[in-house]
Amino acid sequence: MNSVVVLWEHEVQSALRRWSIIVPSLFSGLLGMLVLAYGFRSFFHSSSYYLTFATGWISYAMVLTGVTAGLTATLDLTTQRIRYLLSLPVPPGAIVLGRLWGATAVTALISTVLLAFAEPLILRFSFSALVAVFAVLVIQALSVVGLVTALTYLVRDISKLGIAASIATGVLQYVSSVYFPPSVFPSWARPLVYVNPLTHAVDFMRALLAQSSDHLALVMLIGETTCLVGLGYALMRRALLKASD
Amino acid sequence: MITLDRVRKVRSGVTVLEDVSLRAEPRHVIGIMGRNGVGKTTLAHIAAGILRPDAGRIVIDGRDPWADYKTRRLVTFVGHQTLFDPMMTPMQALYFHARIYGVQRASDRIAEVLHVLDVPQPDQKMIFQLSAGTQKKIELAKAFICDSQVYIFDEPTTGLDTATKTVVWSHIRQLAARAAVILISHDSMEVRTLADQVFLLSGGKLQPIEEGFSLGTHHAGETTVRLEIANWNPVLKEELRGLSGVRSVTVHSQRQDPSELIRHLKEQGLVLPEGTPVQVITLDDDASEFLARLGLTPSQAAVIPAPPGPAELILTLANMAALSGVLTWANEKGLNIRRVLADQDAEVTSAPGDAPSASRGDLSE
Repeated sequence: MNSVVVLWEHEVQSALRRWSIIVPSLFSGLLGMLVLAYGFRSFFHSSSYYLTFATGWISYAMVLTGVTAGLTATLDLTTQRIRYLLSLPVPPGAIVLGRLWGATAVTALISTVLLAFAEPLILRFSFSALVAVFAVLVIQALSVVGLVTALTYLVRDISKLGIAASIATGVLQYVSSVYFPPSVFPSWARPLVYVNPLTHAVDFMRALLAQSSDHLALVMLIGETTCLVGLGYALMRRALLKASD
Repeated sequence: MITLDRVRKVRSGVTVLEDVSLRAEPRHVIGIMGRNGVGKTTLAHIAAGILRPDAGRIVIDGRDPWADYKTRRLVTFVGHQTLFDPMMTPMQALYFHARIYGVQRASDRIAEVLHVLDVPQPDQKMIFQLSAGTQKKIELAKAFICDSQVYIFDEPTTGLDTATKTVVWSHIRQLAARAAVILISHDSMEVRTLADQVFLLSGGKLQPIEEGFSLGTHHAGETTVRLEIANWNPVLKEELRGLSGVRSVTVHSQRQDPSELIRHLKEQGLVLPEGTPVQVITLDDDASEFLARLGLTPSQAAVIPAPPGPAELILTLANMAALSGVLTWANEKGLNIRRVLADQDAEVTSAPGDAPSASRGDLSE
């Protein structure tokens, strides 16, 4: 089999074996979903808010995992690991993409599991809508991983990285349409909300719930993801090549 | 086949490798020795494509591994410590490695190699949980699983017990029957046992050690080395003698026979009564001999060293590793070493100041 495919397969499998990342995120996400399903349903007689909130929650649940997985994908690259990877018959770009695929897989996994639980409990997507939502969640996972990867190489100082990751998590969560639609935000904050890839992913899912479609949200999400992944890829590749100098 | 062509590498402002050229061909084992920190691992990493040279190039089977990454399939690098992910089991790590190198029947091959290397339960513990020796075996297993054209071993048997060492040597010999092998080691016995050609890395340069190695035989203990130096400076002799591992130094300058000088002086009517202060312009051990023939002691004569010139040094060293120190020192002193000949089996009989023996040239035999 092609060496690059073997490497990517290996990276994804390795990431999916990281139970220390997966279990806490799944536990927290599922608990939140259960509280939503039974708490809000009995308190609010209208289903609109908890449907809105559930889609935001599914989207947000991957953020903590994405931050952890993105940090792991970069900080895990010890000198020993880099040397091993560089000795393999694959180009550095393929090594970087392998790391990004692995982190994305574990990130998307959390939201996918939440989606699977939420579907019978709260949501009622059609099959085709479910496939579309899954695809959007994967794209969003890529954007989060790309952002965190880029952040890791831009900040560099590991003591400051924790602060940067916390700020990024907060901004992704609150300055987005996870809890409320963008129209709720003051006009000066809206540009920030629209820069957030979670906004577009959540808007796309909510449109599907309302039996419509938001193509602009999808295009925006793909565009932002391309930029973030491109930045993360370029910075990680540069670091990898620097290690070979 | 792998070729390193005028490779240069600077790390942290220090030139580790300077114009290093090396060519390893199939059925040929190249041994590289040198002191700690001299750049052996850097050289291995450059050959393996892990580090990029600052100048010069690497060619593997006619291709540049930095342009054509698939070329790296032809090379297997075995580090002095395992480079595998410590969170994987040996089986997982080796299976991944085997697949990426396109090994057929990978599981069977891995099981076979790990059995030979005596690695128990390779799928039970993660690599970081294994002893250093077992981790080393896992790293070595890479080489015996993959069918490469070039194998680079960096200290392959450090930390292994004697029985495993023997197994590893036997496997390296098997690999060398069809592939090119670069063997980097501190262990002079290992290098002597396995290598067809030996180099000493010192002062950033690879110094070939010519013909003096008697492969397959080894006696523990001292080693005699002959250095041919183009610009030997006699004032350095005491410093050289003080280097770690240097037991004795004998210098033979390529100058006129002292007896010829004495005869010439006598013909000129120069008679030196005992106690006469004499200034002798000379260089080395020949000076002592010259004074002795004149019946003088060094206290009666001032010896003014002459300018550097060609000389042959016979060194008795505690072991071959000491040679690396000598070569580094010589490099620091700006000495131009034209040739290094070593012989493990020669008995060391000459003392400092002794005349060269007639059979000295046989040291390399």
